[in-house]
Amino acid sequence: MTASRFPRRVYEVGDEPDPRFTLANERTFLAWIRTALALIAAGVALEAIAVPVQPELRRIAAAVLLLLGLVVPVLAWFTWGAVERALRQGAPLPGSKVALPVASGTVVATALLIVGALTH
Amino acid sequence: MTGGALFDPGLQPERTALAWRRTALTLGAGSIVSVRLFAPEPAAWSIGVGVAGLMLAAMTWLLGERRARRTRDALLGSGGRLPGGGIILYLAIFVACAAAAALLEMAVVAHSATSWSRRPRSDSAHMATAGVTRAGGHRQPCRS
Repeated sequence: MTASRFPRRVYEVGDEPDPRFTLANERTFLAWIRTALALIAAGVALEAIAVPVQPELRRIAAAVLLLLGLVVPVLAWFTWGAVERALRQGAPLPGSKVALPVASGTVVATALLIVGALTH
Repeated sequence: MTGGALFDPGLQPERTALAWRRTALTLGAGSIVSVRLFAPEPAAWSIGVGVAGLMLAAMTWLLGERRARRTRDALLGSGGRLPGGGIILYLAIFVACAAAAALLEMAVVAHSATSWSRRPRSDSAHMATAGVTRAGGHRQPCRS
């Protein structure tokens, strides 16, 4: 075998999986990265554009979106590693660590914006 | 896998290469738009941030292309292994840092906006003030 690939935590176990699964795992990671970029863009836009929403709530909503943009790539990285590891071991795939934070965070941000728009 | 036939009819390597390109393009467009939103008028810091964002997007594109080439080689050619996760980690860290930078930017703006809000202002100017304080908060520290 040639030099071990990074991260070793993933590649030290199991055998090479079907390449299609590995590539699909990679695309899922990239899709989460683009989701994070969209969340960041939304947060920046909320912060920079004077939308008719109560300023404090708008600011908090923007911060929630930006925080999601910060957390999502990190969780996507760990999910990618866990899935790749499971693929190599032929184990059941782990659940995504990203979905719940994204879902709950966007719900909170949207609720803040609705309240902020109604009370403005 | 005879005669250089494609690895499978789903064009997996191509789809993955396209996903990398989409991501790199989103990165480039996102950094430009974000800089423009935060700094409506060009300033040294905003141009620097914009150029840095574009360069990192270009780097992501090139790394994605290299990764795609290695993937094709592994699947069609010598039967080597698929590339590891180094670039994956780089991309995750880069995007997380972009979010952190935007949060930091926001904190700085909020700080300067707080000091501004102590000044008396009329309610009718409420909407406009939001934009004005932000713009002022940026330019003052950079140009003075």
